[in-house]
Amino acid sequence: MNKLTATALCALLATPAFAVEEADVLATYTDIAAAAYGDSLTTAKHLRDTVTAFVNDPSAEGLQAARTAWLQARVPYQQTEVYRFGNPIVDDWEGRVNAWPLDEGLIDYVDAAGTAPTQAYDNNPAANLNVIANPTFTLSGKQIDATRITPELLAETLHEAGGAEANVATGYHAIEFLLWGQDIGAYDSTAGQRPWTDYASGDACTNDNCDRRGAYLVAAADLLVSDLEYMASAWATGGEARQAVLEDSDGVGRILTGMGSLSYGEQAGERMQLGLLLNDPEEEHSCFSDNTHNDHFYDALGIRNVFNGRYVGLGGEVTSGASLRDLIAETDPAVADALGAALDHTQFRMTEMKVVAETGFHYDMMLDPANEAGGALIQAAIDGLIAQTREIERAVNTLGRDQIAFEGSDSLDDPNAVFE
Amino acid sequence: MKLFAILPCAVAVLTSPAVADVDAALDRHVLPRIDDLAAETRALADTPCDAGQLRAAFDDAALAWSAASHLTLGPAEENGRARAILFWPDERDSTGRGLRLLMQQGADAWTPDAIARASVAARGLGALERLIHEDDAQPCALTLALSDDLAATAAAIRDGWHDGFADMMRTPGGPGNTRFLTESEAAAALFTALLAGLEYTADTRLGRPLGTFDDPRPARAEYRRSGLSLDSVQAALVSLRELAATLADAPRTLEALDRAIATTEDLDDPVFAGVADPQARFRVETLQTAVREARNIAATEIGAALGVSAGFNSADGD
Repeated sequence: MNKLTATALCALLATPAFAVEEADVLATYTDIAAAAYGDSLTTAKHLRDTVTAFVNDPSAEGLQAARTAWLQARVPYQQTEVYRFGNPIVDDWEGRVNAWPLDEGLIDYVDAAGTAPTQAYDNNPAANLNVIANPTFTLSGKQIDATRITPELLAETLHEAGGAEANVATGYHAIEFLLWGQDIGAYDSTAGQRPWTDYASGDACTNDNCDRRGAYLVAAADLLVSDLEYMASAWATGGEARQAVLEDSDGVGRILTGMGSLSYGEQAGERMQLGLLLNDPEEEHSCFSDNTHNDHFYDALGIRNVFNGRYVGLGGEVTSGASLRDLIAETDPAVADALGAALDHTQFRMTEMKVVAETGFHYDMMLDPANEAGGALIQAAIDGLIAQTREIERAVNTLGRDQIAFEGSDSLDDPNAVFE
Repeated sequence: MKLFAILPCAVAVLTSPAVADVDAALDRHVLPRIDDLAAETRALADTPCDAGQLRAAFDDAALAWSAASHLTLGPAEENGRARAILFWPDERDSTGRGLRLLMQQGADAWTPDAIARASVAARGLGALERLIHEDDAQPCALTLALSDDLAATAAAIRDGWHDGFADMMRTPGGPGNTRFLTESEAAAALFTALLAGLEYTADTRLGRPLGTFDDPRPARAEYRRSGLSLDSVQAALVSLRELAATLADAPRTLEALDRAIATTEDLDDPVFAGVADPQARFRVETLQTAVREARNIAATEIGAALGVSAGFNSADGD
C-alpha cells in the first residue's frame, strides 16, 4: 500500500527503464533453477538405474559404480541449495531429499565403535529401530508391518518417525549410508567400508537381511527420483515455483535472502563452524562417503551462480542471462563488484579445502583438534562466507533502500505524512 | 524496476530517518553488559571450590551471559567464542559426551591450552552447570580449569570490543574500516542483534521446552539444572529493553517489552516444568506471544525510526 502510493506519487518524476530489467533477472534465476534441478533429476535417475543393476546382480564393481553415481548426483543438487531459503516450496520439500544428520541405526545395523547412537535416547526412541532387520515393529505405540519395503513406507512411516528429525529414512544421506556404511574411526583417512556382500544372496550375504537391504536401497533411490521430478517440474515453464518468483514484486529479495541465509546461518554456522567447534565427525554433512568438502564447495558455487546469472550444467551446457550482478551494478557498481569479489574469494578458499581433501586429507581429518592446518582451511572458508554475507546485506540495502523506509514506516501509513 | 525508479524522488520527499545513537547504545548498553560478563565470569573463576559459593557465582555469571548473548556480532563471533561461553541448545548431548571425555583424559587434559582446544560443548557455562549444580563441583581441578577458561573467553570478548570493535562502530567508513561503511550499517547491526535476541528468546529459550501441545519437552529448557530458565528469559528481556531504549525513540517497543517482562514476573515456573500441564502451559505460551509481539513492534517501530532493515542472523538456517 505504502509502496504503491509512493510509486504513484513518483511515477512522473521517475527515470525511464534501465538496461537491465528486473523481470529478466528473475527469468535467469528461474532458468538456472530449472536447469540445476533438471540435472539433479537426470543424475538421480542414473543413480537409481545403477543401484537397481547392482542390487539385481551384486558385485564389488557394481557397488563402486553406484557410489560413483551418488557422488555425481551431488554435484548439481548442491548447486540448487541456494534456492532453498528464498522459496518456501523448496524449503518445505528439501527435508525429504537432503535431511541430515541422521541416526542411521533406524535403517540398518550400526557398530558401537562409530559415533551414531546404538540405543534409543530421550530425543529419539527409534534411534536403534533397524528396519532392515525387523519386518515388524512397534513405533510410537503403533504396530508396523514392514515386510515389504516400499517408497511409501520410507516416506510416510519411517521418515522423521516419532517426530525426531534425526530419523532420516529418505534422501541422499540415507542412500549414502546404504552405499558406504558408517565411517568408523574418527579423524582417520578411511570413509565408510560397507562390503558389497551386504547385498549378496545366499551364503555370501554379510550382516544378514541382504534382500531387505537391497529393497530399501532401491526404494530410497526410487523415492529420490520421484521427489526430484516434483521439484524439476515446479521450476519448468509454467511450474509453481517458477511462477511464484516471476509474480513476486520482491522477487529480487528472494534471491538475496536465499544467498544470505545459506551463506551465514546454514553453511557458515550450522554446517561448518559448529563441526569445527565440536571437533565432531558426526557433524560432517556427508560423513559416510567423506564427500563433505564437495558439499560445501558446490553450495558456494550455487550462490555464485545465481549472482552472476550463469550455471554450467551436465555436458557443459550453459544457462545464462541478465544477472543480479548487472542489476545491482546499475544502482551501485562498487557494491556489485565488492559482492562479486567476496564470492570469488570464498570460492578460492573452498577450492583450497577441496584440493587438499582430494589428496586424501579428508574433511573429518581437518576437524581433528590436533590438526591446526586442517582447521585453518575450514575456518578460512567460513570467514569467506561470513564476509560475503555482509556484502549481500549491502546489496539488499542498495536495491531496497527506499522500500525498507517505505514498508514498516508508521508515518507512511498516513499518506499526508509523506508531504511533511 | 519501479522500486529503484522512485529512488531520487523518495529522497526528495521523505524527511531522513532519525540517526541512531550508536554511541549511546555502545556506552550505555553494549560495553557495560560485556564488562559485566567479564567481571562475573572472573568472579566465578576466583571462587574457592565450595559448592554453595560456586552455585551463587555460577548463577551470576550465567545471567550476565543471558543479558549479553544477543551481542553475537564481532568479538563474540570470532573463534566461536559465543558457543564456548554457552553451548546450547545441545541436540545430541554433546556436552555430556565432551565432559566425559575430559574426565577420562584426566588432569593432563585440564591445562588452559588443552581446554581451549577441547570441544566447545565441553567448555563454558553448560559444562560448569553440570559440574557445579549436579556433581558438587567435583573434580575441583576440572571445575576451576573450566571456569578459568570461561573467564578468559569472556575477557577476550571484552578486549575485542574495547580494543577496536566499538571504535569501528563509532567511525564507520573510516580508513581501513571495511566492517562498517556507513552509520546505517552500524545501526543495522545493533538492530539485528535486538531482533535476533528477541527471536532467540521466543523461539529457542521458550520454544524448545514448549515443544508442541502433544509433545512438550520440559527437559530441553535452558539452565534447567541450575533452575535459572525463567530468570534467564527475564535477564535477556531486561537487557534487550535497555538496547531498544538506547537505539531509538521507541515508546511502543518499550511498552511491549515491559508487558513481556511483567509476564515473567508473574510466572511462577522457574524451569518451565509446567509446559506439560495444559493450564500452566498456557502461561508460558502467553509469555512467548508477548515476546513475539515485542519483536514485531520493534521491527516496525525501530526499523522505521532508523531507516534500516535487519541483516541476516545466525538462526536463518535450519
